[in-house]
Amino acid sequence: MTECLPPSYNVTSYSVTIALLVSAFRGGLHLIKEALLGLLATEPLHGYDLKVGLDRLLGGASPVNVGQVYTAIAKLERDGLIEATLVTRPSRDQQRVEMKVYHLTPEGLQDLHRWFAEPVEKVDLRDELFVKLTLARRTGRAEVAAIVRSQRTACLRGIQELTALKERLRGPGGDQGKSSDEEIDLLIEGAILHLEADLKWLDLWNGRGSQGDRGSQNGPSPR
Amino acid sequence: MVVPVGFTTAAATDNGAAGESTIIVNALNLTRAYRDDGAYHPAVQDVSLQVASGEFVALMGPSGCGKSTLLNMLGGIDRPDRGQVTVAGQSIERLSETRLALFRRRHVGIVFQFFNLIHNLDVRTNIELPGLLGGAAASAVRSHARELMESLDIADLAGKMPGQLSGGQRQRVAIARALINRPSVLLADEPTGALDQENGRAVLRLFQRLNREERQTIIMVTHDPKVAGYAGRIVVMQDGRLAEESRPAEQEMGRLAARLLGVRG
Repeated sequence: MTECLPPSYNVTSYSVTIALLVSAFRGGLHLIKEALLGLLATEPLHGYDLKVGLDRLLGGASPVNVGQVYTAIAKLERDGLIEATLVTRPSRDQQRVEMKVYHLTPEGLQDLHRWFAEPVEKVDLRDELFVKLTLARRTGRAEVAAIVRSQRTACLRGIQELTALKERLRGPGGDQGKSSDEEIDLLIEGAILHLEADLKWLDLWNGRGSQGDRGSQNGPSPR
Repeated sequence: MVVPVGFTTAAATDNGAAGESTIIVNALNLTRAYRDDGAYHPAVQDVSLQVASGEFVALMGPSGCGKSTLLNMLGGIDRPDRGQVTVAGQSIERLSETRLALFRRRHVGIVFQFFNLIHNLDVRTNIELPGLLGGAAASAVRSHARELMESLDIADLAGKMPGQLSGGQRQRVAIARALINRPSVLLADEPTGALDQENGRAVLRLFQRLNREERQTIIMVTHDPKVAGYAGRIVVMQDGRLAEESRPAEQEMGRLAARLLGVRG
């Protein structure tokens, strides 16, 4: 069995936390950059449109601030992946204002297609739940059982909530499986499948007792 | 990606019993064991469960956890070794076989995984038969069967034989048959187990509609969390006992759903 945590791991160690944060930040910037390219692949947009498009795409899970968006735009422009042109548009008070509208360059399109072609590495397996269960397992079976029980209930509640949401979005005439928003429908289906997998994974923990019961330092393999 | 209008105020998971409800099924300390070659196998151990009128409850758990045994005791199909079952105000565990059969016909509708239709009777007769056996007037039974067939979108199948129907259509017929006597409680044992995903989903949506619009009490057994997700309350069984329960708060969007849609509270 693999070690469940690296030998040097210390829960009070800031270095691990900082490394995780830096990694998440880099991943976040990478995602923002590629998402901007993807939004511009459909139509030229100005900065505010891009910010709104990102918010819609990422939902509330990864809020993006305006500063991050304009930093990413500047980098994309510097790297020759997007270009800006000045256009005149009517403002709210009927004045005509000049604004920068961004569009994709051939290099930007190539970069986007390269990103589409790369598989996404899911690396969030050693998450808070895994760490919590691992440490609880070293304390005793009762703690693991209590965590598993409460987490299973949370998973079931999540499945119920998401099923209600899915069916509501599909509407009363949704027997043909058509949703008013196919993308959100797929997102919800994915979330339900993840919760179903979590339920199965939690059952593995229940079956393996505590460190004291089995004399092992290890939890089950991460998901 | 749009939040559906009214989601935060309408019942998001209003297939649980809302407001003040009466208890329609009350099981107290039910125990049931099977004996095989002299060995004692406890299937259900000291289970108590109350179901309110108008609830849609899923009994979930792995194969062999006792959920079907419990369902059968709740519906008077099986008898407990110990404990009490009251359905619609009537204690049923000590009824004679004859009275139990009458009780089931009047108060319990049952939907099975493999439909259990009578193959040499057409759809209309399959649906009407339990009503006629219950002693209701033929005209009233026929009228109710017609209503049910229209409601379940199977009216054009009335003259067909079960062998001519798809799995999804057969299960709709079985549901209509289960509802013909206006049962106090509809029991369903893995009702989507023999159906493909789309037909399974249609049956579950139908259960939700019956529950919400007709306030039909439903108790459904399933091993599948995605199927259980359609119920207002999920009761999980493990090793013959009730292990956990999930009943989301009504009339509000859940935290997870809100996060997924990017709605900030």
